[in-house]
Amino acid sequence: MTAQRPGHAVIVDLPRGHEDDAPELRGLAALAARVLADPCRPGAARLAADRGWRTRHQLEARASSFAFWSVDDDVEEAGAALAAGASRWTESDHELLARSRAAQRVLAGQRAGQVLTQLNQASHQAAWGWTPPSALGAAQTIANLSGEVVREELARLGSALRVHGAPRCDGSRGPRPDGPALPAAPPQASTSTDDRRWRGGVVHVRTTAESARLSVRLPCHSDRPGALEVLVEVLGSGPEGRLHRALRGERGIAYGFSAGHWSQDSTNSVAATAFVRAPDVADTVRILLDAVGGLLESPPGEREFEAARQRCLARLLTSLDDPFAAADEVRRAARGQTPIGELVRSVSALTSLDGLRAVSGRRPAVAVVGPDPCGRAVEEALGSHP
Amino acid sequence: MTQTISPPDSPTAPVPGGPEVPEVTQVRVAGLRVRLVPMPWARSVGGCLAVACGSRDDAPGTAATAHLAEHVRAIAGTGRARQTVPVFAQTDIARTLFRATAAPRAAADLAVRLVDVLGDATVDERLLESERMAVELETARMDSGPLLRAGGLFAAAACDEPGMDAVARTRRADIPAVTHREVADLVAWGYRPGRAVLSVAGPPEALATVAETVERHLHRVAEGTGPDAAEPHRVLTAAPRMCLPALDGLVAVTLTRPRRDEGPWARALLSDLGPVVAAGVRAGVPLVGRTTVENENQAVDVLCWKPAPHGRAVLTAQLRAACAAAEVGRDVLARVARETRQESAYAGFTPMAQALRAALADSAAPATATATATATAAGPLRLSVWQVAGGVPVAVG
Repeated sequence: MTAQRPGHAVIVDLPRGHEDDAPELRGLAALAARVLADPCRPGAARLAADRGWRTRHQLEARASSFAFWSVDDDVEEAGAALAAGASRWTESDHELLARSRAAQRVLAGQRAGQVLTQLNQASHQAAWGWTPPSALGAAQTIANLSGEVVREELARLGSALRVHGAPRCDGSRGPRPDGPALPAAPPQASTSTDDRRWRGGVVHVRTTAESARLSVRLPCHSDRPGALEVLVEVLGSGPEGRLHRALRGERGIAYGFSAGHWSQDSTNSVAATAFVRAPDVADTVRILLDAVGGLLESPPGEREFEAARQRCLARLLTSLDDPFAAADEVRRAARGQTPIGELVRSVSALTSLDGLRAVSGRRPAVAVVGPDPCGRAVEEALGSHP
Repeated sequence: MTQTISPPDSPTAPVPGGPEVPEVTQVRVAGLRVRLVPMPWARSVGGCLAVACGSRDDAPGTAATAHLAEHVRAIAGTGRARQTVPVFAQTDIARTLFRATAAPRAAADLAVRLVDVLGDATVDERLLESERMAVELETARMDSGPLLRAGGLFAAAACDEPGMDAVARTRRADIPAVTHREVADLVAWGYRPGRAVLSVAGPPEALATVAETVERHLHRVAEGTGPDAAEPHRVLTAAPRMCLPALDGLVAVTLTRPRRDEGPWARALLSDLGPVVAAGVRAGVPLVGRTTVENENQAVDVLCWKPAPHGRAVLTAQLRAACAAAEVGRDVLARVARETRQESAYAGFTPMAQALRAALADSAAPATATATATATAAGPLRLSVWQVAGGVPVAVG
């Protein structure tokens, strides 16, 4: 049996993401990607469909990446094929563009109506005081994306793309990056956190559902790589963590719950979410505040920390077994981001969560998506919470 | 209309030119089949416990018993592994799957954690109550989205293997009525080593002690119960047909086939490039969804359309014609074969995927000559066209 991973992967990076869209052209990066991903037109998508390659697209704030995986070593052709497809624009593309615009408009509408999208936006609003625009754009801005605008955008992207690939199994290098460097990813938040923009507060999105989704987010300082990842595991998204014990084990009040962390504008934040019956919202917000706030005030004991660290390592190592992982690691390094392998080493070396603490004097950001009484219930719960 | 077809290829034929398939070794530990899949390149370990106890084993009038059992057993165990190895579970028709991943050096913990799911096959009443609402809310999704039940509705009409609609027929209102005794009885019957397969995939050195760990732990937690002791026969009964008036007007094509592999011809027939989907396009009705419903021996592929009333006759005529001809062009076959080869390699890339594949390589039901023969035989395929009227599927034509 071979000790080599089966298959080959490359990632083609386009140097513009949804935050590069001009306000009146919101959705341009997404639409350009949609056109490039259409196998009806010549390009990498058609090549992938013909050969059965597995594909992935990720639209990020400042980049748009296409990943291709093949069991054969032919996948390196993807970069040139994508560039060729981007530089070509014919009469038939106008019809394809009209279909793509219509599909994106529908998707944008569906996405806006999804409860998780609403919860994320409300949480962002509560934390920062503003809501990020949809990466897909809105009906009016999508309508502004004419053939000329998209053609020019594709030409720009095609001339500036960059290909990342993992080293080959024989030890030689993968495809050489052949385009300009992408904008570096935003740096991770550091100890000298600039938290001036944190607002905190409550945002309620009213629905007619019987159930509600809640998010509680708190800003925090973190000076040790991997510490936030372990902290999130202490809270847990499964039966091993504190959230399960507090929400389901002790109270039986939640179906879904999760924990996560964000780094934005040099501020870290940790959040816990829950999916509960509407009458349980007040109890739940207190439980989530106690869970997140308590953990930031008082680090976990040795056994709890070690169990969370093991879970965190398992999750990170599992992500390294993804078919695109080797190419993703090369891309992360090229963009100045922390490779997962490096994060694994950091988490392995952690011995405690010392140095992680709440930012004092900051209000929590609480978002709730649910029926009418939920907003009041949250306000009252916060008012009576120490 | 229903048509029985002999496919021009063998459903069990290996995909040519695919990557090397890891060799699976199997040992039996106290009746439990333990399968090990070495993957020298892996950075993590994946594990899967497949228990031959699913929704079709719910006694009449006690829908969701198996789902509740899954929730309770997924959080069973008290040792270190309970804290370090998260388990994700899913109740299917004929089996319940418990999956976990771990760092290679925690492979033994992963094995212990999955063996704990079988444990002493008991149900903690307090845990059951704390999980009941979770199951209710999970099930509520189907109550508010009846289209989610369409797969089970059509599969039960197309295939007479008992329980094809066992997952789809569960309703939120059923769950409060399920008693602790009913869940405990099902677990005592179903969560036994002899009814389960445990598979672990990962770096060879991580697998070295797995079988030994399983043996030691299994004997400890199941002391006195014996591997296949007193396994009473449980008769599967066909439940009354579901009636879903909300789905009236829905049109479907079903392909009934052996569970293990539909083969490239059947896959091509129902693919987006194949003649069935093309028939819908000719009738001006886009496909609204597709799913596959898997039971122990049989599987049913379901493709659904939602035509406007005036377009229904044209659509069903086109679908009937496509199914009657059941012709797949060589170019489509070749293209689907290429896709299948790539998809199969991609889908089996991770240790978790290899563990799942090994666990499902045959039925997780107790190995019997009959079950094995049925599962591996390239049985005939059956194509049918349906339309929902009065809440039930009616064969068209």
